[in-house]
Amino acid sequence: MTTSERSQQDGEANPKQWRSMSRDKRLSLVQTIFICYPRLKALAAKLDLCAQEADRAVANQLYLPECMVIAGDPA
Amino acid sequence: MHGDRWGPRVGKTAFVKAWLRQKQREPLEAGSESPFPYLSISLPPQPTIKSTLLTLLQKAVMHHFIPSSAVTSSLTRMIHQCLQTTPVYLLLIDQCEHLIDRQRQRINYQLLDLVEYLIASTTTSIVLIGHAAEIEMILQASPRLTRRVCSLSRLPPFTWNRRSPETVGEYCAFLHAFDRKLPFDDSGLAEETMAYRLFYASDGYIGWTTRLIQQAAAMALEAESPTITRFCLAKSFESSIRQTPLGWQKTNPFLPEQFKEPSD
Repeated sequence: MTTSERSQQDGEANPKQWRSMSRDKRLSLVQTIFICYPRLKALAAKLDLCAQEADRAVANQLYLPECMVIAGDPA
Repeated sequence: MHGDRWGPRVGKTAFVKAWLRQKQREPLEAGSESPFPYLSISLPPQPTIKSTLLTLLQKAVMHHFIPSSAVTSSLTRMIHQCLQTTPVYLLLIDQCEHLIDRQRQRINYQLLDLVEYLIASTTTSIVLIGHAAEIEMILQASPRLTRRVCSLSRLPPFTWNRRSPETVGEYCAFLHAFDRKLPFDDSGLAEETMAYRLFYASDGYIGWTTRLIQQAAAMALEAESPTITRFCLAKSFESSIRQTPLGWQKTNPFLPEQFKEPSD
């Protein structure tokens, strides 16, 4: 499936069809771009796992969920 | 402006917001009537225990009235009760570097105690998000917290090292994905010469790269250009990076026709 097809299926505007968009729409698209590159995908998977563990703890009060740290490197 | 006094960096906050947006889009389990089981707060500079508790409570019980005159101990009881009765899987605390008074290099133990208390007395997982150095100080000061941390993930900026071609590939792939999402014709951001200019300008920080491109895109929109040109990026560099520590003593990499990465 192409990006354009996926965008349409998700109900999102296809950015490459910008000629039919208003300037405001284009600006809003630009301002909300977020790229989930592979390192972030791995991090998202860890967060998902942490959430699942906590879900287990809600069901079983004896189980202690673990915590997580996301640290950014200083400049 | 997101980020801190130095501006955006590796994109932790943007990542967490995107993750939460994704979770909001996911359908709830069949038959589930639970509210959204994730809470997130961002610590302001020099947070007080009371302001943090009030923020937490306002997020947790949304429509309920919380008297601002309530004392810290009763607010703590309320949040504890709330986390026990409403299943909150994750509590994400962003800008954790503000748990430390930067000038005095002193930890806000009152708040740290609150975090420890919530971890020990509820079934909520806590995710601490912040600068690496300050997070390290916090963990050193709290063995109880350290014992419960299962995963310490670092999110460094992109690097550009010709001896490790995957570093160049990773940044170019990021720019390629960005270019594809821009409502313009392909601007060639991922071409290596352009990618290096962007890397040099931003030091590989995703937050700065994003800001640079977004401002250049706004300028390209204004100029009714079908692509984001080098000229727009040059202007964006001047307005977004030049006056910050990141831009000091840097050549504007988008101005010279030939701007090359140094050879080894």
